[in-house]
Amino acid sequence: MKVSKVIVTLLNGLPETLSLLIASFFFASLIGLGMAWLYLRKNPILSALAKFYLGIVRGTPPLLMLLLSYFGLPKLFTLVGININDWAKIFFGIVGLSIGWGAYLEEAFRSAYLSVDKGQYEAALSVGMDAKHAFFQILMPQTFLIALPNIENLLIGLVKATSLVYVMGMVDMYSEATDLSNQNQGIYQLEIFIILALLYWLIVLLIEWVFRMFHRYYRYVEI
Amino acid sequence: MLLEIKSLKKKFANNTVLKGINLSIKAGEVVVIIGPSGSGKTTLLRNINFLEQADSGTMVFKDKQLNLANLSNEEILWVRRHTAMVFQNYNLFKNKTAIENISEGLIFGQNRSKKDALQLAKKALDSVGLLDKQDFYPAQLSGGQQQRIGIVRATVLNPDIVLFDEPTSALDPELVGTVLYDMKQLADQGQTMIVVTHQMSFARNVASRVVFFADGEIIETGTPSEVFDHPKNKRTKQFLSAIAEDY
Amino acid sequence: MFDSNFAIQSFPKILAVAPMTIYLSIIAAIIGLILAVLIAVVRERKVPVLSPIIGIIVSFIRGTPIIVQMYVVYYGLPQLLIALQKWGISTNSSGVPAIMVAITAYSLNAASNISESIRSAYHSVDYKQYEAAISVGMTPVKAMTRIIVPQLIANLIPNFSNIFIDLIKDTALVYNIGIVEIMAKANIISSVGFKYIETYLDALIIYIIICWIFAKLFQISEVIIRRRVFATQRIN
Ligand SMILES: Nc1ncnc2c1ncn2[C@@H]1O[C@H](COP(=O)(O)OP(=O)(O)OP(=O)(O)O)[C@@H](O)[C@H]1O
Ligand SMILES: [Mg+2]
Repeated sequence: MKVSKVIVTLLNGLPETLSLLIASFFFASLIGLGMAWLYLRKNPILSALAKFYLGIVRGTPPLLMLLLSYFGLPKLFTLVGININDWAKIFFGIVGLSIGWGAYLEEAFRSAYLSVDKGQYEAALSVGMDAKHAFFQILMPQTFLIALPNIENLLIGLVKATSLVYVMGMVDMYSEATDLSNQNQGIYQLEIFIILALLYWLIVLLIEWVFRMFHRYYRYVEI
Repeated sequence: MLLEIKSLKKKFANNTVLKGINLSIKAGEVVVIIGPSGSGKTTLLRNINFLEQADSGTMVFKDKQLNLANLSNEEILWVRRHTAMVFQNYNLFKNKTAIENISEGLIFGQNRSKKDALQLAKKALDSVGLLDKQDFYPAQLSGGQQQRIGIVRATVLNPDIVLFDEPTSALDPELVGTVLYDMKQLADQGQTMIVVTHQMSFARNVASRVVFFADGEIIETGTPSEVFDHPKNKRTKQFLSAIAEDY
Repeated sequence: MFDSNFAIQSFPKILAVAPMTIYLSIIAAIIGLILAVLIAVVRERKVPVLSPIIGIIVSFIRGTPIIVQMYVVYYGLPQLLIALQKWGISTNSSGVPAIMVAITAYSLNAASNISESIRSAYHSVDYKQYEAAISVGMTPVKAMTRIIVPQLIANLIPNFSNIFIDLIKDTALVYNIGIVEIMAKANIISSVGFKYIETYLDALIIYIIICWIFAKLFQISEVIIRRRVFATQRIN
């Protein structure tokens, strides 16, 4: 079996891997921003809730997150009379990963926000900005830049976690590889998995490169 | 009077930092506040533009009566848009270039168009000879350059009063002069300023009035020569001899 | 709907295999830590040839899913042993036990992650401390072991704790090669009556408790070590 054929077969799963990655990261970011906002509102009940959520997720293997989403969500929805058993599997994959990574991103955003120099906000107020502009012009961009290394790590972690959706029968790159290796019944299995590893590595290197470029662009912004 | 503060009181927990301050400032005056560390000078400045909220007291600013214990958001914004502040550690926006630092307040505090704001910012930057630094981020500038841009950022807004909180005390000695020079220029142009500083030569040469501040109270106030050459209060004398500087 | 009796009955059965999860994580962390120290030394000393090669391997391991790494070892380790036989090194390549595969894969994974943490902990120690130690007449080795390393360890613990907890969670994948730990047991029990959610919730609770306990242990040890490090420095 040719290497090129292995690559082509594995790449069949790439769109699924990428859509899962992008959608999960998008929704995780929304959850993270929302939770960070709740947390920072200094409402004791909301902060406790956000803390509890993070505590749960920290101890949950991503695989279990996906399984609970896949098996648990339909049960939860039938309780309110909605049948989601037939919904596309990717939906459950996105939910599982977003809930997990949302908690991690919440922590990254919150700690970055808290480490922005307080004087920056005061300076913004002193030139007559209102709280909203001070936030969007000064605090938010600086928060984002501080959080960037953590965001990069979390995104890379998410790339790797997408390989776990095999548990619900989604056909991503990893599943293509296991299928191919089963079809071949014991030959070239090592090669298949090495190629698969190289493909993931390539995606990760690409992400690292993008972040490096970004970092270089903002290299004079020392926060 | 441009600004009239009456019985301003401020407490942090059980620590009473300002014990009923009365201070009036006429347009065009340069009021220099001196006094020992921890006496509440910074806190006073921050209470004037409401970065800190007073517990009680009143303020008349531009003929508008304000109750310091109970300010509306509109009042806070209005005062901030007619005052400006220069910080001890500059506080230039780290994610903005020099020119953006200056234009930011014009755009978001005064609702000017971006184009107008940049043009004004450019002119202001040029007037202090820093136009070549317009695209530099704060981290690429020396402390002296940052603080001079900090001053431009404040004055470009055309504020009625500029508040300076020890603008030179974070600077290397050789850079202090450049910043003081810019401040003197401003004073000569008739800008009303309140300056907290330990630079006694500046106080003597530029101030229209010197205020000696200690333990959250104004102990003595007068012209530079009154306060420096003929201090009336014992604590003023002690302070002046303790700093033992040629002024 | 949700069979809470089944969930309660299953809980002790799943809990009974939790030691496997912990055992695997601890072994991988210990081997990983030893390898990581070597890797960090090689990379910080910029050993020619070796350092860049190890750098690439570390990047590779950090850029690939652990489950893929596990299968690479699963299929690769026997072949490696055969190759070693050809070179005259006596090995037994037939039937490499699954636990060996898991320990190899997870140790290498841990080694890559820990080595990066060691390096960043090392860089976060103030270099002036080393210079000060030399200047008061300590030998470089002594300065290293007495001044730099204790501070490095204190800096390393929070990251090490995170890596260890990730290891615990990642071991949820070894059921794929037939090792019976928490996840495997949950799957086995479920497959009888197709009641998944019950056992998965059991597993979730067990993982959360284990992770919480270890996170606390690391926190406590950090406090103790910090106190020691800075106390000894004061006495010196
Ligand atoms: N946010 C705060 N919370 C609690 N206490 C504060 C706060 N800000 C200032 N203080 C206290 O108020 C007192 C006056 O502080 P302030 O900074 O106004 O002094 P200062 O005269 O500016 O001193 P320096 O010359 O050192 O700048 C100090 O005792 C300080 O500890
Ligand atoms: Mg002060």
